[in-house]
Amino acid sequence: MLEAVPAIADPLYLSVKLAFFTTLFIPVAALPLAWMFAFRRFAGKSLAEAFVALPMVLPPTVLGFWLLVVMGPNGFMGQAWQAVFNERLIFSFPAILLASVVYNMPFAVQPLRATFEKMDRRLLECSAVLGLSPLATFRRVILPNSLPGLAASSVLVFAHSLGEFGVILMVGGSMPGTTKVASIAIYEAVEALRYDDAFLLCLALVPASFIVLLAVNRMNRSLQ
Amino acid sequence: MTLDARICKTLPHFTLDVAMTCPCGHLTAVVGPSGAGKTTFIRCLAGLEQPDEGHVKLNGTVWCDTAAGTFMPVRCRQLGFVFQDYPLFPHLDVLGNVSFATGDKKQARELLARMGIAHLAAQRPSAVSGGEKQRVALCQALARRPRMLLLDEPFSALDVDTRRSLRQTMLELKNELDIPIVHVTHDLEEAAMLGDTVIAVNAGIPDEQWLGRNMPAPRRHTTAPAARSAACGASLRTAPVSL
Repeated sequence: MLEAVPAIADPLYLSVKLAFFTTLFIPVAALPLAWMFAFRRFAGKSLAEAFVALPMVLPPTVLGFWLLVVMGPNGFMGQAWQAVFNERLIFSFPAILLASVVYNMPFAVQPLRATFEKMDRRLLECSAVLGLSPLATFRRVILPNSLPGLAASSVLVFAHSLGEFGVILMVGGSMPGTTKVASIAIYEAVEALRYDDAFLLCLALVPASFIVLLAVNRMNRSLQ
Repeated sequence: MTLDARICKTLPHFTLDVAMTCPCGHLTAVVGPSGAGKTTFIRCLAGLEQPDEGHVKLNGTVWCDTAAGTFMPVRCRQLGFVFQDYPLFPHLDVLGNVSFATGDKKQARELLARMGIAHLAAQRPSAVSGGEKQRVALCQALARRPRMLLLDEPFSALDVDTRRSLRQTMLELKNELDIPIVHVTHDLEEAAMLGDTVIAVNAGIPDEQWLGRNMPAPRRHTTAPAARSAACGASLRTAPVSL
């Protein structure tokens, strides 16, 4: 069984790395989106909301296909990446990270938006009366009072990223050490009848997911 | 510095149309039955809502003029606003709440001391009583060195004793602050005690008859400044003021 350790360690490490960076980067886009949806009225808001929520209902392979199109050598993102970094975007770790961020966006935006909408609007008015700009109000009032929502959003995103399969397979393929995450490794191990590897990977993912949930729930409780 | 305002706004059941002026050092009490449009009026004065028609000018500075299409955002008006349910920032302690706008902890401590709640500086808002919260809210509003003070039924949720004590504090403050103060209340006794001028608003419009029917007899309309001077306490006036 020991010889199986590298075969399961790399995909597991990659899955955790992907989940970690997705959780780290996703608030950059999710926070402003959730703020806009919770507090602003603008033309086309319903369309924007539906567009952001789309990954929740689209089959992962369909989303993966469209991401493959835009990240490919002829897609606008692929070309921009090539121009800036002089290397191919598709089938790389940045590609699966971008795909993971897009795929997880609704899971990050929804809890944050719900938290923002529950916030006492008078606090925002109070902040404005006290001279703060909308951006300063976001930083000094909204964000500190939304930590439980941010934690809930993070746990959802992290747990969801750990188990991604279809989207990652479409834009990342299965490059060992680069894009072959645990779920793809499990699938390939089963395909190749290497049930021991599949068993170990599955065994490792359950406590890993459980520990993450436990940690974030505790954090959530202490924040409340 | 004089506040000159006219607010006209269509509400679901009536049209609010109230005009007022309030010079420096005066307190205008706006009274009336529940749902008469008082809160909408004061929110329009503050800039938290926009009137359909009208203007708000403070000492000639135009904060809002619908005819000219001018509307200064509330954050630029440098006013103090005390809300009915004292919405303090729950993630900050009392000192953090008071110094929220300026970051000046020294001034915040002075204000807390003068309101008699210096011992609460390190407490979270959830750990202090309603009356104390309202004192904190007053300190928070004053810490900004406001050019005008607006109070929206600030004492309505408090018990009788606390309300009486806060009224006294307000009376002292009024004599000390050289800015226009607009105080919305449904408590006519409070309006009579604090107000230099009392405006009754009923179904969106000034209603002198409503005031005549309901106001305690001795002070139905504008009151003499001497009366308020006699009533004010010494503690705040004798201390150096750094508002």
